[in-house]
Amino acid sequence: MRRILPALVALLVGSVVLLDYFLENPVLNAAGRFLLEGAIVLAAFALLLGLWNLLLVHERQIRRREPGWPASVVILLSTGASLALGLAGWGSEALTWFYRFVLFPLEASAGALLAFVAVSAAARAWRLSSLEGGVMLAVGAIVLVGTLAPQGAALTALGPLRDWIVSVPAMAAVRGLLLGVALGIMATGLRVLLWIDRPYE
Amino acid sequence: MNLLRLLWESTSITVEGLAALVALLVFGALILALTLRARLVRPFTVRPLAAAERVRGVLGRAMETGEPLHVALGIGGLGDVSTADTLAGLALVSFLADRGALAEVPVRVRLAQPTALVGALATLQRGAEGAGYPEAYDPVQAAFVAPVPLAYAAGTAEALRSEPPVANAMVGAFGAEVLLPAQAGGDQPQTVQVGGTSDPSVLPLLLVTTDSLLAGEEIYALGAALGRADHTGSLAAQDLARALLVLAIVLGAVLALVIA
Repeated sequence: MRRILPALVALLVGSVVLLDYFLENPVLNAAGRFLLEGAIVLAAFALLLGLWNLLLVHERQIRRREPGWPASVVILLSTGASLALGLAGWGSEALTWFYRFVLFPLEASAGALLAFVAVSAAARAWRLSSLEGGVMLAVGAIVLVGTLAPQGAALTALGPLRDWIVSVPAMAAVRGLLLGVALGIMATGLRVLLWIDRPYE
Repeated sequence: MNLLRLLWESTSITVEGLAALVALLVFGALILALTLRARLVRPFTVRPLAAAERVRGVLGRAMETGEPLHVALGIGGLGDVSTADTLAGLALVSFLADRGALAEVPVRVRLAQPTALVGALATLQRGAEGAGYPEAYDPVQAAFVAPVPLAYAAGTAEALRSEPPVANAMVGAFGAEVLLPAQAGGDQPQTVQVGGTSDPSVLPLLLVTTDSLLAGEEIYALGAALGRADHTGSLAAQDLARALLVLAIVLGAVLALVIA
């Protein structure tokens, strides 16, 4: 029963939501909407589990003085602070200040780092001198220069080459990839519906 | 009976919707038939995936050194648009949880969505129980880092620096932020890095930062490549469907040329 009941619920819920996507029927549409809203509520409960897990992981790290434990102290303190600000009221001045002057600048700083990390990764690929890495860097350089070259400069001749690369070989490769990905996603979903995979057990 | 008739009469479907539903049902029937064939007769042969072979190969070193294996499941969850990618990552977690419990190799999983945490914890527990060592399961093996992509990436990168793993597998849904953990893992000389995602814009980033790449649909073949016999059936169905689609595209192109 412990194995069959979750499988039956998954099959029923999955079938209703799937049919609701294809068919127009007031009863089916209402059932589908109800189930999707239920999934959102369940996901909210999962957030509580996430918070509990965060506390467990970092409490243990601090208690055992594992490498990087000072960062765990900062994480727990900032989690507590943002939770307190959030509970004080959504849209409160303090919460807005926290988002505007703490969270967004931190995210922007981390995002800005990505450009440097990307260049470093590209340099590493060049050093490894693999054929794929070399081709990718050459194509990337053509596309970059073809896009950024100012009007009238000699390098604008790369513009048509850049357009051809983006619209013919790159587009063909992406479409081929997406075709396989779409089939893979469908197969993964159908495996769950057909009881071949049971991730909920 | 009247109720069923009323339901039937109040139901409608577009021609495109009907075609898609029929295609889905045929594909489902194909998956079911080929999975039964793989289970009852013989599993289909799967082309070896370099990334899966690397993960297998590194298990022995992890057993010798006792260093952990790390899986970054990415920014996707279960129940959202990236569910299939997260399930692909969980197939790897399942394999490692089973082997890790047998060989006393610690497995660490880091993720960004609480729904993925539920799946990861269940997979790790099932792996330990399946291996006959339920005590090997530890609820902090899977860690919810942060729900924001960049914060998740920064937290995972920091964890990879403070506890360098013998292998770092990044399989799931990722954006450009994957560069942070990939760079951190790449800085550790002993860490073998494997990456896989379905987003074509992220694949070049993983190509230059990992030792082995699962490109696009290959992540959905990971379960079969790691020995799940029942997954080989759906993989064969995917191959068949892809061949039919390619044939239809080529025929369509030829017909369009002829008509023009």
